[in-house]
Order: sequence, then structure tokens, then C-alpha cells
Amino acid sequence: MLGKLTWSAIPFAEPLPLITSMVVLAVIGGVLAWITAKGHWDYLWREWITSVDHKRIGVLYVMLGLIMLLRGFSDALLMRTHLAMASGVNQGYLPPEHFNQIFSAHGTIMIFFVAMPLVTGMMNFILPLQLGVRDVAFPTMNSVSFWLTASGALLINVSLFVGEFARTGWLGYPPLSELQYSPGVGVDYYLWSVQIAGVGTMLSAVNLVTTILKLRAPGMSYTRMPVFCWTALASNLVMLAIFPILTACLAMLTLDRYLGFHFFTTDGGGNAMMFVNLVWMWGHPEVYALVLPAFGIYSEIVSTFSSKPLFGYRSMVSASMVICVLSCMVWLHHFFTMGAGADVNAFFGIATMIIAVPTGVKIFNWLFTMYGGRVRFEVPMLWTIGFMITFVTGGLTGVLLAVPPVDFIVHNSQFLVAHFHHVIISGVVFGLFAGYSYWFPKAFGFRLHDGLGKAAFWCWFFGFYLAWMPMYVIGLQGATRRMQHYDDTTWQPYMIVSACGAGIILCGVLFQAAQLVVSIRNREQLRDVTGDPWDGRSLEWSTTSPPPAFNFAVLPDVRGEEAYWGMKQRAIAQRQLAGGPAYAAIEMPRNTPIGFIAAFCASVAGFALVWHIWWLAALGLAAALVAFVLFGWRREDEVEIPASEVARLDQARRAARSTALSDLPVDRREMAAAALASAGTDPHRLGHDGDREAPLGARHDGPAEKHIVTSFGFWVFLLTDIVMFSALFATYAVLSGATDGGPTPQMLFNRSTVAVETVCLLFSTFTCGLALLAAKRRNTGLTQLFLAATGLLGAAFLTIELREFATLIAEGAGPSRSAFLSGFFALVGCHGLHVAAGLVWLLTLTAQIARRGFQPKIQRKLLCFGLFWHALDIVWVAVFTIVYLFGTSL
Amino acid sequence: MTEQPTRPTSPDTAPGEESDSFLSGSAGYIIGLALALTLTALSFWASQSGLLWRPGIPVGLCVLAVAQMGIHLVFFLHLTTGPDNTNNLLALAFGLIIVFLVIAGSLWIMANMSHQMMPMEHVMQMQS
Repeated sequence: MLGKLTWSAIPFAEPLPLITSMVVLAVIGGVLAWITAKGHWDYLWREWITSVDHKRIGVLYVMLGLIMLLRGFSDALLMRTHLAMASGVNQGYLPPEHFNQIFSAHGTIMIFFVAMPLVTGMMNFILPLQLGVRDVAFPTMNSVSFWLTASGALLINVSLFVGEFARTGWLGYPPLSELQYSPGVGVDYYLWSVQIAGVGTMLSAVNLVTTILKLRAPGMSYTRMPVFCWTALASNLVMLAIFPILTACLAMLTLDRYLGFHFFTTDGGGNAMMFVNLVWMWGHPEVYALVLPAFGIYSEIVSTFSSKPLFGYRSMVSASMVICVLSCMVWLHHFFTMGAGADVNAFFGIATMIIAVPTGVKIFNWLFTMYGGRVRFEVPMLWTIGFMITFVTGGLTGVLLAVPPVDFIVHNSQFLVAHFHHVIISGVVFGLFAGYSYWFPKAFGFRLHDGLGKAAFWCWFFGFYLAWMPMYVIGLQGATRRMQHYDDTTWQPYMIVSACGAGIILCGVLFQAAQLVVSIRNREQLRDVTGDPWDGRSLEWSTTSPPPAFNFAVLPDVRGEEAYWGMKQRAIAQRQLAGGPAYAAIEMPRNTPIGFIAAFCASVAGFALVWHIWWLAALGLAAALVAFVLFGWRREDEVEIPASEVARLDQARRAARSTALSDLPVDRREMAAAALASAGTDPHRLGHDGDREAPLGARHDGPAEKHIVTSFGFWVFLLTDIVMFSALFATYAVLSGATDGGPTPQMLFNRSTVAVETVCLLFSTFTCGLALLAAKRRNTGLTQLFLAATGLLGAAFLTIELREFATLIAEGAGPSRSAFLSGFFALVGCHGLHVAAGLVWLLTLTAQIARRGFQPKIQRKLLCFGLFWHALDIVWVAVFTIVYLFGTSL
Repeated sequence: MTEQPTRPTSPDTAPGEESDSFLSGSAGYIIGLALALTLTALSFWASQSGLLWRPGIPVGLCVLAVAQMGIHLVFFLHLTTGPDNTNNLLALAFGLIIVFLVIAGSLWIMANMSHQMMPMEHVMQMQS
């Protein structure tokens, strides 16, 4: 009934996890009781849980990231204090199996549930505001993405009270993570929580890429986007490219553990190195996906607080895009020592060093932006300067590690651990804190307390150096990573210093908590009345703090680089705001609980899968499916905000701005007038009115039409799907010779069956195209007929494939026979699963057309379905060639 | 996001949407299906025909497969090189770079590693 779950899963005998669990449960219970007592549930449900507003979702992401930071940081404190003691005869206070869980959880949490939500949250909140639009491309999907990430975070925390976490390190290398060596549920918790959160991340990347490419204010051409939008684009493209690889890689490990496949096992022809190869193809670009948005945040801050346009905007954009592609070509440097030859190692070593070039370009651009500027040393700027100083040295240790012979000496040592903490803390974490203090007033309408913010910065800055510099030293002396105890007592002083550093960082964290509390209490004194507290340059500062639900009463009219700076200078010089616009009613997406429901189902199903409670897993997945189908039937997708409400809110904003404008000193006015005069009609400086009369096509004309946005988003999603298939293809190609003495492709595959399958699919793609054509002409009868034909041909294909599978398994050639067969079943089965999903989709679509006719929404879905079905055909062409024809002819 | 008013001069096309060309309508689908079936038949024939030079067959099969994927992209997914398709094409190109890196990179690295690795029999002999 309950699978593997028994009372022994609760750690009654281990005081540390037990007490932690009790405290956490008490805190959660207390918060829930407080909410109930105060009667806030209704508000939370309406305004936050079911919200599809990108700003609310962004804030939720950041809150999730900060809460998980506390969890990940307490793991770090445990490890540092333990290592300060565990020297010589002293065994420390953490037993090895517990220590292993802690470092695995620390890494997993810090990357997947701290850095990722914080980065995604900042992008979610800021991108639509900087692009001058009202929301992201797919607001509902945005909510689903967030709640799935939260579901993954929940699952990883449940492992603390029920069962255990993985002891395999944050990437779970096989064969250690295989069932044979890790029989417990720890690795399963790792797999399902990362998998669920990974799906959320992938959807959010699809969403943000589509938003940047298809939804921008009128006049906001690519080269007028703020640099943060560019780095966010680069980062999300990287996520699109790599998360499907991780999904495929972890899915294969899951198949090994649950169904006895042989991808990465030590027997059956499995090859653990393929896991290492695939997981780093995700893992290395991932750090760039995290650091690129941080680079964008630094760029915004440096320019704002130096009161100057960013130096070398175009080189910054090129550098970001170069990093985006190069970062996907260096993954082998994570396993230089694992058996590749000198040629391969040299290639990846050199590629790694080349990345330092665009990164160096960025550093110089920031320095030159500050040069000659009026630098204001506010808290965001302190984090940025701290980053520049620290990141340069951290990056240099990276170039050092990129030299294969050096890596052979220091790999797996504390030197390496020091390196990646050096770059991630200074690059990503400092950037996120900089962005947090920079955009906090925009999100909540009041600034954060200045003094406490500075104190937090200095603690983090010096704490970081104290904690990690000693690790470089003992790393060079031979201290390995992930060690629970060391015999060389001369290392202990370094470990103690490092623990002190962690203690100083703890002070920084406490200052940050205090800053939040004090700022909320003093919010009236810290109020940001104008919406532009830092004298900003991009469009998010042109609206109120916090912005209204619709962001902009009318979409901004962008006439040059630094859109808002140009508008502001013009207003200052003319002593008045541009003429009052005509307000119209605004349609905004309606709230929905679907994201929350999907995540609830995912959490239940994930927990059930960890503990092998099969009925509950099936129930969770079925419930999610039903919820999505019901959601698809929703009639009202939008709510209207009346023009009078829009006008009221915007007039309040204009009044506040006008007051601020009239309070400006005279010299500001003269400066603005002089700047405008010297800029002339150069569109790169402050913009100009002539921009609006640019010939058609020469000027970006605002957000794309909805069906273009939808199908482009789906197109991008399909590309991620194809990348996932490519990981399966690569695995199949590598393992296809590993028959482990079992049947070979020649003995198993029947060419004529495959030919029939192929013809079925080709004709189904043809009828699918005709159905779309009929739908475009609004011919219901023909559309239904062709859709039915598509469905029948698809079903025929699936039936033949299932019979083939059944025959193979009956002959003893099932997926657990050999690595070759595992690869075959995973690849062909994954394609079959797609066809099956397509059939379910087809069924609901046909029903919707019958009931509702050709509404625009249904036409959009049909367009996406067509893309999906045609793409499956393209994948099948690769399958029959690589698997069946190669298999039977070579 | 909100429903935007339709602009007749939109410089952008949805992926998969037909644009006005001589191949629009069912004619395009029929030609596409005929070409796809021909290429499939050629692949199946080439893989087992004794008439061809054996070592060339894998390359030939790959060429036929890539050609067929191209046919699908053009005739079924209506991908063109027009300016309205720039975004769609660039996204596809990015995807293809990644697919190439994943497959070629994996094959290169894994082949190199197994080449460097001592054969299993030798390991066994050293242990005994």
C-alpha cells in the first residue's frame, strides 16, 4: 500500500535531523496558524498563489530562493564547523554518512533552488518592465514554472524528515548512484526533485526567450534593449540548450534505478562515462546561465550609479552572445583526468581559456563606464565593485584550472572547491544581492535600509575571503574535496580560519535579515514616491513603485538607446512631462490556480515515486492531466481594467513626477538642455522625434500578434525537445555496440515493419497539414475528417510499435538485457510516448472544435499541434535511419 | 499579454504558418509527401541493395535523412528564408548547433576515451 515507506524512514535515532525537522515543522505550523488567525488566506490565494502577474511571480521566485539560501547556508555552516574540529584523533560531530548527505544537499540546493530561482525571479520581474510591455509571453505558464520549481524545493526538504538524501555529491555520478551502490531513497529524492524543478526551469526559459524576441515596446529594436535583457536572452538560450540534456541524462539514471536498464551500470555493457559526459554538457553551461544575468545586473548598476551610459554597449552584447555559444563547448574540462587523450584535453582546455576573453571585455567595459563618471557608492554599487575585484582573481584560478596538466595536480582538491565558490559567490551571489537592493524599491515601493545593507556587504566581502583563501592553500597541499576527516593536523588552523569566515558571512546574513525587518518597519521614511529612486536610465524606472498590474498605462514609445533616460532629459529640459496620453481599457490575463494544482500533483507524484507507491503516483499524474484538460476548456482568459481606473492610476503617477520635476535645481535643467542640444538627431544618444517617422520596417513596431507569439514559443519548446532527443541519440550511438553477448540489431529488427510504421507516420503528417489548411478556411467537416485520419494513422503506428516491443520483450530482448537494448527502448519509446501524448492532445482538440468552433484560441492550439506532429515525423526520420537502417545494414 | 490589433504589414510570420507562395495550399503538402515517400523509399533501398559500394552507405543514408528532414521543414513546416522567418530560422540554427555539439561531442569524447582505455582482458590479467 505504501511501497517502501515505513516508520523507520523517520530519523528518530538521529538527533540532528530530528530536531531540525521539529523546528522547521513548528515554524511552518506557526506561520500557517498566524495566516489563519489573521484571515490572510483569501488575500494570499487571490493576489499571490493564483497570480499570473510576472511581478508577483518574480517576487515569489526570489522569496523561494532566499528561504532556500538559509537552508543551503546552514548546511555550509555545519560542514565548516565540523571540519574545523575533525582533525587527527577528533572525529568531529558529523558521521560520514550524514556528512555526505550534507555536502550533496548543499550543492544541489545552492544551484537548483537558490541560484536558479533568484536569477529566474529577477528576470521575471524586470524583463517585461525593461522591454516596456505588460507581461511575459505566457503568463499562466509562468505560474506553472514557478510552482513546479517550488514543488522540487519541497521534495528536497521532505528528504530531511522522511528518509534520507543522496550521498553521491550534487551531480550523483554513477555507478555510485546506481541501485547496486545506493539502494536507499536518497538518490531518488535527488532525481525527482531536480527533474520536477528542471521542467519548471525549461518552461520559464521558453517563456522568457519568447518574451524578449517577440514582445517589446514600439521602437525597442534589439540594439536598444538594455544590456540586462541581452544577458537574460543569452542565459535563457543556454538554459534551453542544456536543460533538456539534463532531463534526458537523469531520466536514463532513473530508468537504470527503477526498471533495471543498463545505461550507466557496471554490468550489461553500461557506460558510466556517458553520464559524466552528458551531465557536464548541462553542468558547465549552467554556471554561465547563472552568471550572465548577474553580468547584466552589474551593467545596469554600473551605468546608473556612474551617471553615464554603459561603455561599449555593442561589445557588451557581442561578448554575452559569444559566451552563450562558447559556454556550450567546454564541458570536458570538468573531467580532464577521466581518460581522454591529449588532443581532446587540449581542445577543451583552449576553448575554456578563450571564454576569458569576452569576460575580460566586460570587465574593461565596466571599468571604463566608471571612468570619468560621477560614481555614487550606494549599496548596489558596493556589491558591484566587490564583484569586480573578487571575480577577476577567481576567474584567473579558472584559467589556471583550464590547463590540463595543472588540473591533473589540483583536480578534486579544496583548490577546485575554492575556485568555484570564488567565482559563484562573487559572480552570481554578489550580483543577485546587488540586483536585490537595486530593484527592491521598484518591487515594494520603499528602499532598503542603507547602513544595514552596507554592513551586510562588508561582512560578506571579508567573510568570503577569510572562508575561501585558506582553502586554496590547503588544496595545493593536497587536501581533497568532500573529506569528512583529515589526519594532517597542520591543516587545522586553515580550517578554523575558514570556519571564522563562514561566521562572518553569517553576520552578513543576519544583517540582511535585520535590514529587511527594519526597512519594512520604517517603510514610510524609506518610501519611493517618484518611482525613480536611483536616477535610472531604463524603462522600469518610468513607472510607479510598485508598478500597477498593467505596468504601463500606454506602452512607452522608444526613440533611442536608454529609452527612459532620453524621455527624462527631455522632460527636465522642457520642465514638463510629455503630453497626457489617451487612456484605453487594458486586458490582462486572468488569475488561475492551475500552476498551484500542477505543482501539488507533481509533489504528490514525486513523493510517491520516491517511495514506490505506484497507485499514488498514477493518481497524481492523472489528476494533473485532468486539471490541464479542464483548464484548456476555460472560457474567459482575460479581465478588463477599465480606462477610468488606468487613467486614475496614471494621473497619480504623473502628478508625483511633475512635483519631482519642479523641485529639480536649475543646473539640472541646463545640463539636460545642453545634452539634448549636443545629441542632435543621433539615435544612439537620447533618441529623437524623427525616429517615429522612420520608414516602415525600419522601426520595431511593438509586440507581435498573439498567434505569432504562441507558435514561436511552441517552436522554441520543440527545439528543446529535439535537443533532448539528441542526447538520447548520442547515448544510443555510444551504446549500440554494447550488446553484452545478447542479440544484435541485425537479429532483432524487421525492416518491413519499420517501413509500414514510417508510411503511417508520413501520411499522418500529410493529413495533419491538410487539417490545418481546412481549419484556416474554417471548414469544420474537413478539419474533423483530416484530424480523425491523423489520429487513426498515429494510433496504427503506435500499435505496430507496441507489438514490436512486446515481441522483443517476449524473446528475452527487453531493455534490461543489454546497454544496446536500453538505448533502443529509451529512444524509440520516448518517440512513441510523444506520439501517444499527441493523440491525447488531438482528442481534446477535436472535442473543442466540435463544441466551440474555430475560436482564435483554438486556432492557435491547432497551429501548435501541427508543429508538434510534423516535428515528431522529423525525429522519426532520424530514428529509422540511425536505429533501424544502420542497425540492419552495417 | 493583451490581444494586439492586427497589423497587415507585420514583418513576422508564425512558425508553421503558410505564407503566400506558389506552394501554398494542398499542392505544397502533396509535393512534400511525394518527395518524403521517395526519399524514404530510397533510404530503405540503399540500406539493403547489393549494388552500392558498402562503405559509402552510412554517409549516403545520412545524406538522405538530412534531405528528408529539409523537405519536411520546407513543405510541412513552411520554413522559408524570407525576412519574416528570420527569428524562426535563427532559433532553428541555434538548436542545430546544440544538437551537433551534443552528438558530435559525445561521439568524439567517448570514442577517444574507449581508445585510451586499457582493454578489459588486460585489466583482468593484471589483477590475477
